[in-house]
Amino acid sequence: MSGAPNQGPAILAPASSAEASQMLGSFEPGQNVRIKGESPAPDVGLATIVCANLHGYEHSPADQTLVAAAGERLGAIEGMLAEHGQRIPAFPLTARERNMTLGAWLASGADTAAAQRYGRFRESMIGAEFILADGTRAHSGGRVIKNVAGYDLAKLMAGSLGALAFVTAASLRLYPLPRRAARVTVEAEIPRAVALVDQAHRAGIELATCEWGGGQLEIGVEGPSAAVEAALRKIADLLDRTVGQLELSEGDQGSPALASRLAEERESFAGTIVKVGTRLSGVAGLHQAIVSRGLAERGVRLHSHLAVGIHYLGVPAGDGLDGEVDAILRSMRLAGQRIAPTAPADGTIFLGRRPGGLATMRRLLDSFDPQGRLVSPMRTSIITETEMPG
Amino acid sequence: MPIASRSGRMEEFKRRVVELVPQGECIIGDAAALSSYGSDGLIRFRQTPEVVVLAKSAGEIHSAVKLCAELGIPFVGRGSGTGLSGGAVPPPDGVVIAASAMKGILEIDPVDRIAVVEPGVANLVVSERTAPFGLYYAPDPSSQSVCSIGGNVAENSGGAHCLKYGFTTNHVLAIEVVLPDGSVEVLGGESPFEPGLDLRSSFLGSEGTLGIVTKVWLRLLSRPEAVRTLVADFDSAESAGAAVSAIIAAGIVPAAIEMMDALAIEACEKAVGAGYSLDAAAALIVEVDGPREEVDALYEEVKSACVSCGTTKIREAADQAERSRIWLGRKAAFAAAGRLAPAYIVQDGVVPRTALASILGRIAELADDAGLRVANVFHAGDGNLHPLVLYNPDSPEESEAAERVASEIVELCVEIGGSITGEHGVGLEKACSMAAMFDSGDLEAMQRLRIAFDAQGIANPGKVFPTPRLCGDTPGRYRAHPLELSGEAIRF
Repeated sequence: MSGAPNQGPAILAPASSAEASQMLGSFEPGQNVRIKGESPAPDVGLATIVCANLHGYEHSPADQTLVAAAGERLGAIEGMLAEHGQRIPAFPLTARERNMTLGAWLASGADTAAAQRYGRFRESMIGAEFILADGTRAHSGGRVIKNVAGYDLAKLMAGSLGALAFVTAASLRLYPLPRRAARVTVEAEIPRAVALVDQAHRAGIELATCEWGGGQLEIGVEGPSAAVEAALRKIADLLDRTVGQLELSEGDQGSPALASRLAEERESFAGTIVKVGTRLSGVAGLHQAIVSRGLAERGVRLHSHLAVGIHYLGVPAGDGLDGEVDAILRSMRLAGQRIAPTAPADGTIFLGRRPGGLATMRRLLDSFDPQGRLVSPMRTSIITETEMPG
Repeated sequence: MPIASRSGRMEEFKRRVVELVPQGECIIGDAAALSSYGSDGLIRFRQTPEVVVLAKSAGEIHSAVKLCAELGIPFVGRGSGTGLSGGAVPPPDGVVIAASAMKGILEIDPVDRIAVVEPGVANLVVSERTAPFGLYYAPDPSSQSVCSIGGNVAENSGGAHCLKYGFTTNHVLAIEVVLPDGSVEVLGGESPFEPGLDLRSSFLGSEGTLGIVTKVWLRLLSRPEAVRTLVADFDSAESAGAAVSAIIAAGIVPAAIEMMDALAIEACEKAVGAGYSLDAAAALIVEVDGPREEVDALYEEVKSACVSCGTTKIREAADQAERSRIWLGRKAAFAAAGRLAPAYIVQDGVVPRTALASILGRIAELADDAGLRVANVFHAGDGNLHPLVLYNPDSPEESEAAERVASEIVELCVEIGGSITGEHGVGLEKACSMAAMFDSGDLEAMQRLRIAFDAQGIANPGKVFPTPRLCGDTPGRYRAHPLELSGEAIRF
C-alpha cells in the first residue's frame, strides 16, 4: 500500500481481500476512487485501487477449474496451465494482454478469437470474489462448473469497467489444449466470408476460430489429428481446392496468426476502437455502409470475430469520423461501445443504438455504489445516457 | 384514492385485470382451477393463488405486471410448472402470470443460427422446428418435452449434455423482459456482445425474482454429425469415478457422462428394462458427439479409459434405437425409485467431480447411520449428484431420518467445495440452505441487484433468499408430479 485514502490522491494496492475491504470501507463520503489493474502514471489527482498485488491461485487440473487472484498475469496463468495441457478461453493473447492482470482483463470485457469455440470469456466465469464500494466483501458462484445457487454476479462483473466492484479473484472453467490445431487463410471480402462461414456450418465443420480483417478470412479447426484432417478436406472442398493447395498453418497451441496480427493492429491503432455486435449476416450491411459512405477510404477499418458476430471498427482520430460511424450504427440499429480510448472526451462510451436496460443499469449502479464512489467510464456513460432527454 | 388493505387491492386487481387480458384468460374464483396452479413439480410446497392470468401476448403480461406494480400485489411468472424447487409456487395473496399459452416461434434464421421464440414454447419444440435446417437448441433438461423456454431462462436450466455444451446462459443471446415496475426492456443483443452492463446474465437463473421474460433470442447449433454411446459396468463406484477422471484427464470432453450405482441400476431395470447389468456396482453412460472422425477417435479412447480402470463390461449402442433405450433407463431413474420404496426424496447437489467417489462413500455412511437406503444417479462429468433417499412415509422416524439425510448430503456438498443446487434451483426448497454457501455480504450483494430490478419486492417474493418465516417451515417428502405420473415428463 502506498498511501492512504484520506491523504489525497493515492495508489492503493491491497495484498488481500481483507485489506481491500478495509481500504474501500475507510473512504470518507465524497471521496472517489477508480479501479485499475496496476498502478497508473500519476495524473488526475484521483485515488486508485489496483489489484496487481493480489496473488495466488488454486488450480484443480482434474476438475478443470482455476481460482485465481485478480493480480495474476494472464501470461503466467497461460503458461502454468499449458504445463497441464489446459487453457483459459482467451487466445491468442498479445504481449500486452499477457502482461495484464486477470482483474483488468475481466473488467475490460475483452474478447479474443476463442469466443468462437467457448463463447465470451465471461461464460467461463463460474464465480468471483469482489469488494463493493463501501467495503462489503462478497462472492457469487463457486468452484464447480455446474451451479445455479443465487444470482450470477460473476458474469455481471465482466466488462463492467470497474463500475460495480473491485474484483479480487475469479473462478474459471478450463479447457484441454487441442491435440492439433490448424488454420486456413482465404482472401475473401466480407460477403464471401459470410457465405463461406455459412457453407462451413452446413458442411458440419466445427469452427474453433473465425477471424476476418484486411480482406482475409482465417478459419481455425482443432481436435484429434484425424478430425482436423477431415475438417481440412471439407474446407478444401468448399474452396474447390485440394488440402495441399490451402494456405495452411499449424502449431503454436492453436494461436491463429491472423487473429494475433489483427489484435496487435488494434492495440497500436491511432484513433478510436469501437466494438459492435451483429448477427453473422449483419456484418455485411455494416461493411457495405462503411464502404459506400467512403469511410474505408478515410481510414476506417473493420476487424471481426466473424461467426460469433463481434466486430471492431478502427476510427482514425479527427475528421468527424466518430460522428459518421455513430450515424451508421444508429441507422442500422446497432449498438457500439468505444473500447479505446476508454474515457472519451464526450463522456460516453456508447455509440449507435443505446443498449437495452440502461435505466436498470443506472439503478444497479445506485444500488451497488449509492455514493458514486467508484469512478468509471461505464458509470459516467450510463448516467449520461439516462439523463439525456427522451 | 389509495386502496390501503391487501384484500381491497386484490379485489381491485381482479376487477381490472380482466379488461387487460382480452385475448388470454383470467382464472378468478374457480377454486379447482386455481388450485392446479398452486405448485410446481415439487408438490410438497403449495399455495393457491388468488388469480391466474393466462397471457396470450407480451402486451398482456406487461399489462398484468403493471397492474401488480400499481397495486403492490406480488406475482410469480410461470412456464410449464415443471420446476423442482418450488420456485413457481404462488406467493401468499399473490397472482400467477402464466406464459404457457405463448408458444410462438417468431423467427428461425438458419444462416445466423438464431431462433426468436415466445416464452411458452417447449424446449424440445425448438429443436424439432429447427431440425430441417440441421440445427438444434443444445440445453436439454429431462423435462424438455414439456418445460418451457421461459422457465429454462428463469432456472438457467442444464441437462445431460451441459458438460460439453453449457447451460441456458450459454445459449441465450437476449431476452425481452417485463420488469416488476411494469417497464419493458431487452437485455442482451443479437450477438454475444452488447455494450453496457451484462444484465442478461444476472436475469438468467434468477428464478422469477427479477421479472418475467416475454421473448427470447436463442443461439442454435449444428446437429452433430455423429453420436456414439456406451454403458460401462464397474465393480465399484471408485473404479467408475476413476474412469470419469481418466476420460477428462485425456483431454476429452464427452457430450455426457452419467453414473448410476447398483440401487439406481436395479430401479431403472425394474422400471423400463434398459438392459443394464444387475450385477454391476456402478455403471457409466458415456456419449461422444461431433464430427465423425473426432467421435471415432475419442470414442475409442473413452473405451480404453474404461478398460484401464477395470470395467467389467462395455455395452455399445449399435443404433439410435439402442441409444434411446439406454437413455430411457437413465431418464427413468427418479420415477423408478418408486419401485424400491414407497417414498423418496430427490436431492440435487454438486461436488468437484474428483470428489464423486469419496462423496458416494460419505453418502453410504450417512444412509447406514440412519438405517436407510440411498440410490445414486449423477451427472458425473460435472459433479452433479441426484441421491434418492428411500424411506417409508408411514414411519415418522424414517421420514424424519430421510429428511435429515437429504439435508446432510447438501451440507456435505458445500463442505467439500460444491453447491446446494446444480440445476433444480433454490426456489422455496433450498432458500434456507443459501446461508450454507453465502455469507451476509454475499447475500447483501445479491439483494442489491434484486432491488435494482424490483424495488417493491413483488416479483416472486420468498424465493431464493432465506427468510425467518420461510426457514421455520418443515420440508416434506417428494411426491411425483402429475405430469410425471402421466408420462409426459421425466425427472432427471
